[in-house]
Amino acid sequence: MTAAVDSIISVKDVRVHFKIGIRGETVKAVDGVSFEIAEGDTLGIIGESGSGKSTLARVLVALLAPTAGTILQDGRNPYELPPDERRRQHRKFQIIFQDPHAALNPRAKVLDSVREPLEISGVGASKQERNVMAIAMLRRVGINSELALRYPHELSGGQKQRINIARALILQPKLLVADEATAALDVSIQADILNLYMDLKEEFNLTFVCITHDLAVAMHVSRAIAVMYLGVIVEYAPVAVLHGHSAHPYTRALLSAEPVALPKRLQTGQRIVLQGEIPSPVSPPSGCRFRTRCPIVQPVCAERVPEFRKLADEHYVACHFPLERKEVMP
Amino acid sequence: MATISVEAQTKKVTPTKWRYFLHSPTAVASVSYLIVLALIGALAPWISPYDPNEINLSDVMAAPSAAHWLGTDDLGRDVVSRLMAGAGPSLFASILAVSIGTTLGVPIGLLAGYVGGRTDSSISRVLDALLSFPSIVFAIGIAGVLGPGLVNGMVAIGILMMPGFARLTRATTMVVKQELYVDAIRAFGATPFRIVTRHVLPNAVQSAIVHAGLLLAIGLLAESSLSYLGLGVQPPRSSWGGMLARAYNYMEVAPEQMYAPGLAILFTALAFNGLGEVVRLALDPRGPKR
Amino acid sequence: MISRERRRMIGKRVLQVVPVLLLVTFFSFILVHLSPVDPALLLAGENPTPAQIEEIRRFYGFDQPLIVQYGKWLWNVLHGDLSISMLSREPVVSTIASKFPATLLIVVYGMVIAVVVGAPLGIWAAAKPGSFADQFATAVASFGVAVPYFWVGMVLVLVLGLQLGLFPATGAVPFSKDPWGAIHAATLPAIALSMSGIAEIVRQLRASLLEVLSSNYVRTLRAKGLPASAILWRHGLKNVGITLVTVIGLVFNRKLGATVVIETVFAIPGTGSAIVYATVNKDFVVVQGIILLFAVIVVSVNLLTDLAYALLDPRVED
Repeated sequence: MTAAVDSIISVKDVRVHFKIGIRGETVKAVDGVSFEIAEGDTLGIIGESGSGKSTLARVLVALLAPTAGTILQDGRNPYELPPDERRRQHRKFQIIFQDPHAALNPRAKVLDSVREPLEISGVGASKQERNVMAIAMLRRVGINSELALRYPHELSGGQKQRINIARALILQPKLLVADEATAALDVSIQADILNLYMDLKEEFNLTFVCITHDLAVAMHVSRAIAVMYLGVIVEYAPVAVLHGHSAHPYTRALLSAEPVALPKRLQTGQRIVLQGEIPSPVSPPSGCRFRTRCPIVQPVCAERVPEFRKLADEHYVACHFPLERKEVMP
Repeated sequence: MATISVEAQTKKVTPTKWRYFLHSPTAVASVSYLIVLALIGALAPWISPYDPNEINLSDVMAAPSAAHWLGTDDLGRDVVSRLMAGAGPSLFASILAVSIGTTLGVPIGLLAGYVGGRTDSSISRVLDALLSFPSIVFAIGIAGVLGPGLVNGMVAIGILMMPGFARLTRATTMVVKQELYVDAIRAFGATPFRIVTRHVLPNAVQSAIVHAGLLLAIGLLAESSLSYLGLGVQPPRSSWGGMLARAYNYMEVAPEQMYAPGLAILFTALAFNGLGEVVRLALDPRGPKR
Repeated sequence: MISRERRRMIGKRVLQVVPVLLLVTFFSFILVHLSPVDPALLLAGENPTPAQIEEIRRFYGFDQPLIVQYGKWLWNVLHGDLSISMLSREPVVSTIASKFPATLLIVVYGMVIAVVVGAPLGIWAAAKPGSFADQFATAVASFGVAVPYFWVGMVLVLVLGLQLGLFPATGAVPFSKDPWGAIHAATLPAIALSMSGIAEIVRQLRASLLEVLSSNYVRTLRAKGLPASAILWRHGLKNVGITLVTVIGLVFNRKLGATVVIETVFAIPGTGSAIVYATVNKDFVVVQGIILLFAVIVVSVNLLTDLAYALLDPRVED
């Protein structure tokens, strides 16, 4: 991908490897990922659990340093900045975690938690002023002020997630990453939260990255989608393109499992069920990682790693045999 | 603006903690006892029936009577007055030792737990080494070197309590620093100092507080041991340990002199332990559990 | 057969002792030099002449840098030389050697009492939670921790020693000369020493056994119809054994420290009373030597306990 001038995030060949266990095995959570995010865009990153998407989320907001490769936030590499500048840069790139309960300090009142980012960055002339800003932000996400003096354990999961959102946005960041933003919530509340995200994105002019395993959610919310499998991106395309012409067998399988995502005329009526389980990230299969479950696997797939290459305008895929538009898989 | 009509009702906070406290007889007894003792210790100069240091050689080793409720000691001093005068130093000593232990131990534990790595290993080594010294022995050594006295002795005891606190705090710190809310606040560019003081410390210090409660009794026993040996509170100031030492000498003549100071130490230690239990239960959000 | 996993754990643990021992020796050494007064002056006694002070200084090597002194001292220690007491003119090592057996006797005896009394009580309490036995055991534990053990000693001397004449009130009988007499004489001090040990053992055993008995594993066994006593004996006691081993080390170390006061109460000529005497009389080398001895014993006991635990820990697969 070419580096667009207004790329707010630029990821180049990032790898994140963790050493685990006494014998020093390495988990290759993210194993060579490159892409750009343009300012104002909404990107969805989908994948099963174990695909490395949550790890990638943390890399995007510089909470986790990549083992190899570079990440540029607004053109600057956070790890090459002096500590206080790096800390300042943090504020512009925020993340909402999957677990709304664990993300809040149990001993801090809601108001304190939301006000704290303001204190850290020195916004506002007095504590009073900061309180006012915090309460305003809480109201904006649907938490009224009488709840502000409560402790997290007194509130529900949905409320806590809203509080997390308020806290993340109070410094008016440029980028917001939502890691499984609704996974831990009741189905009835998920829609509310998603709509809240959409409203806020417009209002705050955010670049939004939605990380999820739920294809329907991703396609509803995003403009473009990156599909991750076992630490690499296997396909990247705008949602519109993906609807009609997904090229990677994995993407096809995911789409087929979500009949609602495809318009009626493209539904083949077949569900493509993938065999087997996702392999261990400690020792991914040689060549193309997906080959152990791929319905159209060929011998060459075990020998050579497929390049992540351009198929069409803003459509990239990593496969030796990318599917044509009308092609149907066995 | 999204409406929250379908949200679950927020849970009400009931003041259950106070109810547990009032229903537990040990809690009430311990705290009341300690409050009374503290008052006695503070007000002793004004409320004691006699001057605790007033020597009256014509009336030594007197049996309990209306004039002297617990009799007199080998120098004719009123036992009740001496008991009251000894309360203050005993309470002060325990609190001093535990305070030193906590103020030194908790920051060290936080440092070791949060930073980890080489810093942690070196600190842990030193802690292990300090833990290898039996506390009384060490206190005696310090007393020998710096001279006997209550403060010296209790400072030594406090220093020896420090590794226990440090270890506990280190363990909880290592758990807390993995919590998601620590990551969340890091994402805002908080300095490590802020993270440790505002987020790690309040959540990690709980076990140390409970430990402090339990250690008050140990501190008291250590002080009475030192005073018994003549290395703690120095005569003629009265202390319960010192009273025991004198009474022991005259055991064959007036054995009942031994009971009052010993029981005073026992009950106070029990009260401290009761207080420790109360603190533990109060801080445990899950409620009383055996 | 010990698995490689376990062997690694054990090796690591043994290696960890070395830096701790070094630090321990260093702390013991540094104690004397913490004094604000010139150590040579302190050791010199009454009205020393400048020449005498100088001689002391040279004899003890105080004129050399601290590290050198430490090195020399450590070298001597490793060769069994703990210097010579200014007071008694005896080598410290022989003083300690002659006094330590009496201390060891009451400590071991106290341990035995603590286990013999505490273990059954703790187990009984856990077997019948909430019953009178349980409450009694808990009361005993609370009492044992709160009571000043030396006061208990005093009371024992008074009642059992003087008033009832069952045991000698003071002094110790050398074990080598008269084993039964020695044990008899050591009974009262051992009982006094055992107070906190009983409390600790009751508490720990009760807690560990309760945990096992209420664990899901045991509950399923019960549901299958195994009688409670069978469960108790087979699963519970194994756990109890492990807990006991780990607690014993802790208890032993505590008692060792407590001998200082107990030996004073019972006028036992052991290392405990020796260090008190030495402190009061400013005989530093004796103080130093005994502190070092105690610290090394504690480190060794901790090591043994850890090793025993490493060998017995059921969580590590063999």
